This record gives sequence, structure tokens and C-alpha cells, in this order.
Amino acid sequence: MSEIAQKEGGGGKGASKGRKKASTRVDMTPMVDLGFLLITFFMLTTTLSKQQIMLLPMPNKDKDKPISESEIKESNAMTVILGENDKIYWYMSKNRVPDFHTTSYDPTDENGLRKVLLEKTRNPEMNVIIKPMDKSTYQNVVDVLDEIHIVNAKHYALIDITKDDEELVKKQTAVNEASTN
Amino acid sequence: MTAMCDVAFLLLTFFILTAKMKVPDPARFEVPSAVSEKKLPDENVLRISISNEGAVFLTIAEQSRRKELIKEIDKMYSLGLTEADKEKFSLIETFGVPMKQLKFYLNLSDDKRKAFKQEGIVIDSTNNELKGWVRVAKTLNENAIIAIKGDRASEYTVFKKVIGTMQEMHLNRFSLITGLENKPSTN
Repeated sequence: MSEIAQKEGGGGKGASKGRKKASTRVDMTPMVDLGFLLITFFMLTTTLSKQQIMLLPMPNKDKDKPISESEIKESNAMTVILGENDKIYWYMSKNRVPDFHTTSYDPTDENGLRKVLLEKTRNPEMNVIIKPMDKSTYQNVVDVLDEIHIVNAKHYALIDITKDDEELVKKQTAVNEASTN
Repeated sequence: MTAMCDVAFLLLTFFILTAKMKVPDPARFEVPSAVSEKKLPDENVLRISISNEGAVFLTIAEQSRRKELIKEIDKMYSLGLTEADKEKFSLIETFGVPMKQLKFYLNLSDDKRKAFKQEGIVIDSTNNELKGWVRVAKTLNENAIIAIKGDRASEYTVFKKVIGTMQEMHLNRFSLITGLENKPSTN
């Protein structure tokens, strides 16, 4: 690029008059370089600054018509409980404690949430019920919703935790502690 | 060369002018990451932010809407704000102060206001100010979507309260603001 500016050095009319006419061309290369750098910067930052969103539709909270879990067939409902300190549990049936499992958010884990969800949501009728405990964090909720989006589950709901579930978690923690000791 | 330069600088001017200055947030909102690739629109967004300490903030990007909002809120809660106060409010994009502190907060000098620790909008069951703000904002702008920006470490209880408040007003669709994460293969 810089050669262009030097193309008309001396010679031509200036030389014939005996006085060398100074070129009025300015080497613009550095300015153009800077210009393109800035363009690149602004282009990238404007497109990257748009924030990502995840849609979360919630059921209508109609006080007259509470949603009851019993409307869903037991075999088609999977409950995921989010506990404190990033603990996570899931069960299919409420009444049997051996059915209560501890899992993890780790996608590489063989018994991790993603593997479980993938397997369970092969049934297209499967409803995933997410019950975060009060001690769980916002990160946990988003993580689970994210896993649900990843495995493409069609039916899911975010529901308040019940006393029964809290009891189950307590029992399970006791069992886990006993087995590690 | 000249033509290319002209075009380049035209583009540069365009990008500089369209770029928006990022206003620093009054608290820490470190969003969790997710695979979703949907984008948040620039306009008609009512953003509710939850800080890591559980304080709730409200963000409205458009200055004209903030002006309308504070007029209505002033009437509703009889806060006794002056025109200058309202003008100041319209310049603040994100705020999180209880109603009774609002006048005091707006009367602080610019430096002090930046340093002031906002304790968040009140969402008690007896005194739900978030509901007031959102209801007024929603009547002023029916197309507004509710976006929630929560810090990773914020407790679920605050999120539950916010969601519950919205559901009481029959607002059931939320957009959770998340960071970008690559989509893993599911096979």
C-alpha cells in the first residue's frame, strides 16, 4: 500500500521546470490500519454484547385450580430435587425410598443428571418436575433447565418443594452418610 | 485506495455511533451459562436483576419510559418528588432502593449516589414494591417482556419470590438472561 503514495516522486512537470515539486500525497497506511482495527473491534463488540436468554414459561398460578401432581401418571413423572451445596436428587415414585437417587450436574458422570434425563425422556410423555429447595442457588435452577433444553424434554415444570420431599432428602442424606462411614 | 478508505471510515463512524455505552451495574450479577442461543431484544425489556446478596434491582433501558414510570409511581405512592428528582431518576438505568429511600437516594450527589449501597426493591408479602413497579411499567408498556438476570450464587428463595410476584399479576413468561456455553453433543 505504501508504494502507491510514492508513485509520483519527482519527475514530470516539476523536473522540467528545474525545481523538484514536493509530493502532496500522505502515506495513509497507518491510519487505514488503525481504522480497520477499530472497525473490527466495534463490529465484534456490538454483536457480542447482545445477551443470551433462556425462555421459562410458568404455569398459570390460578388459586382456584391448583395443579396436582396426581393428574400425571406416576410412570410418566420424574421428580428432580435440587438441594443445598449443589446436591441433586431424583426419583420416579414417591413411596419407595430405594427409588430415591443422588446424582450430579457433571455431564461426564455416568450417573449424572444428563444421562438420567436422556434415558427417561425417551418416553415422549415424560414430565420432568423440578423442585428446588430453598437452599439451592439460582445457578442450580438454570443448570437443570439447561440440561432439560439439551436433552430436548418437552414437558417440564418448576414447582415448589413439599414437606414430603424435604423428608425424603433428609433420609437420603442419612443413608449416604452411613454408607460412606 | 481512497474509495476503500472512505467506506472503511464510514463503517467505523456507523459502528461508533450505534455502539452503546455500558453502564456499570450497581451490584454483582454474574449470570450462569446455558446453551440457549436466543437473544434478548434491545427494547421493551423490563429487567429484574438479583444480586449475589439477594437484592432485587429493576432496569429499564429507555430513558423516556423511566420518566413516565417515575411520574406514575410518584402519584401512586405519593413520594413527593420534585421535577428535578424525576429528571435524575430518568438518568439512572438500574436501581434497587425501597420506596421510602427513593427521595433520599435521588437527592444524593452523583458521587455519593454511585457509592451508595442499594439494598434492593422490597418484596415482602405485606409490602411488595416490586409488584407496584412492574404493574405500572407493564401498564405503560404492554409489550414489555420480563427478563430475569440472576447472580449464580443468589439463593433460589429470592428467585421464587420474584417469580411468584409476577405470577400473581398473571405474567407467566420469563426470559432468563444467561451466558453463552457451547452446545454439547447428546449422543
